[in-house]
Amino acid sequence: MIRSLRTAATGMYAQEMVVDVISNNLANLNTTGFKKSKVEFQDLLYQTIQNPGASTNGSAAPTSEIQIGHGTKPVSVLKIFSQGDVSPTDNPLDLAIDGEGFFKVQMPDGRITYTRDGTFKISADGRLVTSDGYVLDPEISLPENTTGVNISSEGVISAQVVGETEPEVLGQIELAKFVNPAGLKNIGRNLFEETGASGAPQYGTPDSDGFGRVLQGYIETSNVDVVQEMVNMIVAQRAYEINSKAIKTSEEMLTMANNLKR
Amino acid sequence: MIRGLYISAAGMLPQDMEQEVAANNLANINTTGYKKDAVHFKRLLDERLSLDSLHGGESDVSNSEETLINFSQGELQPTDVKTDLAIDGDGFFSIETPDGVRFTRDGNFTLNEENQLVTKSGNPVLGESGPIQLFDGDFEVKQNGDIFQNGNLVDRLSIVTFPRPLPLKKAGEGLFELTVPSIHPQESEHFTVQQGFLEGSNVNAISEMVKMITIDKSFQAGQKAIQAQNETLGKLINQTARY
Repeated sequence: MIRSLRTAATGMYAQEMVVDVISNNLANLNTTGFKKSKVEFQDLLYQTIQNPGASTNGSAAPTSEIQIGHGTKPVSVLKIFSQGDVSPTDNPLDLAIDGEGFFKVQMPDGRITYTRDGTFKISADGRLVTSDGYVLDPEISLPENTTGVNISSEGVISAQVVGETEPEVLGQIELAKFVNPAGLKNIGRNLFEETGASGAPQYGTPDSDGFGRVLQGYIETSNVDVVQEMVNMIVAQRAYEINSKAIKTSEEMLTMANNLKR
Repeated sequence: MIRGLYISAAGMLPQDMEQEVAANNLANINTTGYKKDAVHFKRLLDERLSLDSLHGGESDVSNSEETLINFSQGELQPTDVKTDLAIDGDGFFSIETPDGVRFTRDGNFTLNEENQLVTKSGNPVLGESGPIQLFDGDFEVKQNGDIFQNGNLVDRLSIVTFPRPLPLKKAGEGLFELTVPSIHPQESEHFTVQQGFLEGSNVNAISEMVKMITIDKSFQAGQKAIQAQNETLGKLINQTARY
């Protein structure tokens, strides 16, 4: 009886976590390159009550036994890397990836992190950087007097410079992709880090085997689907409610047991 | 009279257990691959109620029920994640754990650092010849459990089944273990593996709710019966003495 109170409480806790994750998804509805998450659960350990007189000899036929579970636990929060919609921005330094690749970004300490957020800026020293000032890897520097930047779907960057008739090729964007992107670690600021679960990155050029095209002048919106999240929220809320009913039933039964003798 | 008290109490104790099982089913209403439990009652036999067994109330009662796992299919939910697999039909994934091979319907897998297909707890999923070793790059799981990379057959998922009734009990974390270690799993034939799907829990909220209401009311009935007998007993003891 007391056990069922605790069991139902794990159910309520689990649904709370679902709502937390849904809230984060909805909060990032308009975050560029955001990838939604979902919580996954497993059941907890079971207590096996052997019936008295049941055979403990392994070769005998299965005897009746009672297995009582202790509820549920969250095992992971999984990121889902489905493609978000691309929307035009008219900013030549906004890039979206249509495919599985990630932009490589160099952190101040030299580590490489990965992002789907291609809203790049030009730093004071002319390099292509993210909104937080982290440098795009491999590094691209724009010459002074640049009047226009063109980025092809294969990721070749060329600049139109004052006094030159031909555009000057500055470099090539390199993308990374992962066997299991769901294993990447979220480190905030739209950045991901590789982990053992994600596998090592494979590098390649855009518009080749699965890395995806680079679209200049577009951003990738978040892949959060409001209707889906709302449905999930209703499911979580109802599951929360029904677990509270289980607590209430257990509590009523305890009260009845207490009232056996008045 | 006293016997009646014991009988009513014996009727109340299993309700308690039923409520615990219902609470666990409800707690796992959104758990991937979860299979619900049901408490199965055997009637208390009349000979158990012979006078000499009355003082051992509890063991008499616990012999009268068992939990049975309901292995009905849960619904398949699309996730678009390559490492998520669901079995539609009969069969279980085989998982290598430190305690031996375990079986599961929860295909919520991932890859480890050595590129092996593993469960979320890090235990390898078994193929035809041990853990499934993948290479870098994309992989595709066919409906018969064959795993392809770059057009080459890498391995085949070990999807197993057992003679009915399934000799399995729950081991937690979505795993099932054999109740009888000597039974050998056999290859399942009636299934398809769906990549990018997970099998939801087969708990039905409505039926569990109805069950809880029933439990609650039977418990109440038992309580009322005990109270009534207690009053009768009280009358007998206190009023007979007056004459």
